[in-house]
Amino acid sequence: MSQRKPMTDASREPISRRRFVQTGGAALAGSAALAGGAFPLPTAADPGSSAGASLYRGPFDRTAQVKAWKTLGRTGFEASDVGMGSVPLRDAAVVRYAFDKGVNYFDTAEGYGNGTAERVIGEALKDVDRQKFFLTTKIGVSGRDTEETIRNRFRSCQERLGLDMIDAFYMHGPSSVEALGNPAFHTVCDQLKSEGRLRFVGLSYHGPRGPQGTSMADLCCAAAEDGRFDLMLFVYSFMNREEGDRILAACRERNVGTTAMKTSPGTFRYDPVDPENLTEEQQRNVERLTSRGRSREQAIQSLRQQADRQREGYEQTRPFIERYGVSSEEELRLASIHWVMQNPLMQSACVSFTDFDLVDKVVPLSGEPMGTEGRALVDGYGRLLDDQYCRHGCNACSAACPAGVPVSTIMRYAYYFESQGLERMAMQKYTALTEPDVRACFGCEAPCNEACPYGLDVQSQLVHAHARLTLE
Amino acid sequence: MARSELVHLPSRNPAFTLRDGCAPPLRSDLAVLAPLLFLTLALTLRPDTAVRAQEFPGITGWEPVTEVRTYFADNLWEYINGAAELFVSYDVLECRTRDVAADGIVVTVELYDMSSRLNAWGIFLRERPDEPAIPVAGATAAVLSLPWQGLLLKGTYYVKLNVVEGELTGTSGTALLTAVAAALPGSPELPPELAALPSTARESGSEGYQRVGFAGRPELRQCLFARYHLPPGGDFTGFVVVDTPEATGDEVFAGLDEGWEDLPFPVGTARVREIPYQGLVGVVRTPDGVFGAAEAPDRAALTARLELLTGRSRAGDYR
Repeated sequence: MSQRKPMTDASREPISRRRFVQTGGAALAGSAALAGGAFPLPTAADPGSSAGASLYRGPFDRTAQVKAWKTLGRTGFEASDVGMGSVPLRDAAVVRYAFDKGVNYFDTAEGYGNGTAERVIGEALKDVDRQKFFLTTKIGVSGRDTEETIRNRFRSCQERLGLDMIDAFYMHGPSSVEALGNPAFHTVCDQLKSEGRLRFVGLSYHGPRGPQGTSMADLCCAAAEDGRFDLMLFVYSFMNREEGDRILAACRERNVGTTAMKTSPGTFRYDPVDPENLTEEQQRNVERLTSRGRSREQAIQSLRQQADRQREGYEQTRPFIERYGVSSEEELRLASIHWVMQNPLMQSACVSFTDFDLVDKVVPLSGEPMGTEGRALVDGYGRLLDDQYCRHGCNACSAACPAGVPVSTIMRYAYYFESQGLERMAMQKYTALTEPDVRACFGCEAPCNEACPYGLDVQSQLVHAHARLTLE
Repeated sequence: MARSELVHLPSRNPAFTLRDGCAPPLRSDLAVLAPLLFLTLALTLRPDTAVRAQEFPGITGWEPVTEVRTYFADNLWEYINGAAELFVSYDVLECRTRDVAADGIVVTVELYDMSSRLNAWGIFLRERPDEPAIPVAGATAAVLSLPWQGLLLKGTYYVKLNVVEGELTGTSGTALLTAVAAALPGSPELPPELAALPSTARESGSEGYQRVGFAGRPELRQCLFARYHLPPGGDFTGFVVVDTPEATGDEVFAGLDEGWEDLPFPVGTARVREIPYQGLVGVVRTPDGVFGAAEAPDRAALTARLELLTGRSRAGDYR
């Protein structure tokens, strides 16, 4: 791993819009790395940073412990500012390792590994003082569920966890605001509380499942106002800051506990395509595409189209890259998590600790304020993408479209086309749309751009997507 | 929507530029050729994946009651929320789902194409409950958790059957699993990579596959594992790092650097490191493959475990 270059005075100046773009572009450039250098990251000179080491680059302090706790809303529990999600969990030792590092908030669900995650957490914490950790699990509830089925499922969760009492039982991804009031769920929760088997009720929401679904902010704010939900788990990162902050404000108003998931958004890379010398990932993509009916030439062409788009961004940011070198996906990931953790209104940021190393990298962030330049990095990256990235779970522009164009859906298809290498599928889906397609936008003067809270040029992006998805 | 409808678009459309390698602006001299070009592209770039995604195998005796919904790695969360992470970690290609009904029972059928038989087998074992497997004709493996759920493995497909109305019985559940197995393409054989796992002293039924993060170590990927008996040293987890399209076993071994130390070993090259709460894990690269052993209390025990695995490897009695 390359060493960080000494910072120049210029690198410490307040980051400008141009530098935002350059900074973010460097991150976009990813694996098109020039050796050496790095983003300006927190150093010993930054307030609150670990002396002599970057918080995001390492070497990581493997002896670090959680240093900050926040009161989890009206539950009163003092939760570690970093919590543990458990979806791909297999190793109980990793759970125990996180606990021994000071992590005391654990989130799981009946559906994570079909119950496996609950079993692993139960095994890991079976000998731990029950007062020293807060455990939540969740179930998806539909209108078909009865009090009996919900009670049975709760009992199964308890059995897998090996716990007599669960701290919080979450409604997992309800389909609408109306579904928040599922009477069977709340009746059973009241009964379980009275029996001493449950303490609190929570809500978990990733975002709407379709273009017309309820936005995450609308649903979570409604849940906060409902009064029966003591805790909330929702998507929060610098990428959906505005929406997330709205939820945080609603939760603060009602003293609802706040926990975050999906705290580290994705990254971008640029790998030139040389058909005679493909990278491993490129070769794998070619094999995938050819296994599904495409010729090798078509697959290579698909890779080239992606690389061309990525190279454009790379070229724009090259001056910055040459000056500072490049960041890594891992650095961005840690900075993103840190950004969430340092928000005083976000009480615990759940991270899927799949291995020991990730625990060792995230725990040192606990209680550390982001250095000014680290914050600038994340803010800059977020702002760069603010006007390029259509966020799922938003749908804020749908009301502004008189034609009913399914904006989020079309943007997703464009994403399939451009980023997933699923051009054919994306085109087929677009052609099969039952709602009006982008042709309805031509000549339209409806205020969709103004309706986008993230400043996207919605119409231009749609037209661009249309061109992609129709090969025109 | 007819393709030809998409040809005549306003020339002010900013998409009709050379930006990002798009097609050039349509001009009158190209307008005549455009429909032909489009037809050609439509035929040559027929979206097989999409067509396939819209299909759903007919399940004999069961009537579809909902439309097919298709999800991919990036939007699987829309369907199963955070549970999608595990599927992504096993390289899910797509999920197709629909509800089917028969005799007052409604079941959601979830077909997960896991890209490879090995991935499908791995996630099946990760998700399967404690109930014993049941024999289902045409399937690699199947489990019923009555009355609510059935799981099935065949080829690259991992299938979950979740009851939403009524209750499955052993008879109806087995019949449904059999019908699903018959409807799916692919081989019912176990993944061929399993042959790489030494069989001597192996505890039958303990096998599994961890695509990423074996033993809590991010660098330990593509690990086929099982429990082994080594009297009097006790049981341990042995594993083989298999070749996949993403990386060979040798390449994975080459990544065992930071935090790993050399381990003297009579054959090949061996590395060792400590795992919190679990003792030592060691990995050895031999001409026959990359083998590993975990949960060793000390280096001597680790060496004995690796010798057990590689000794049988050299003898070739498990292949």
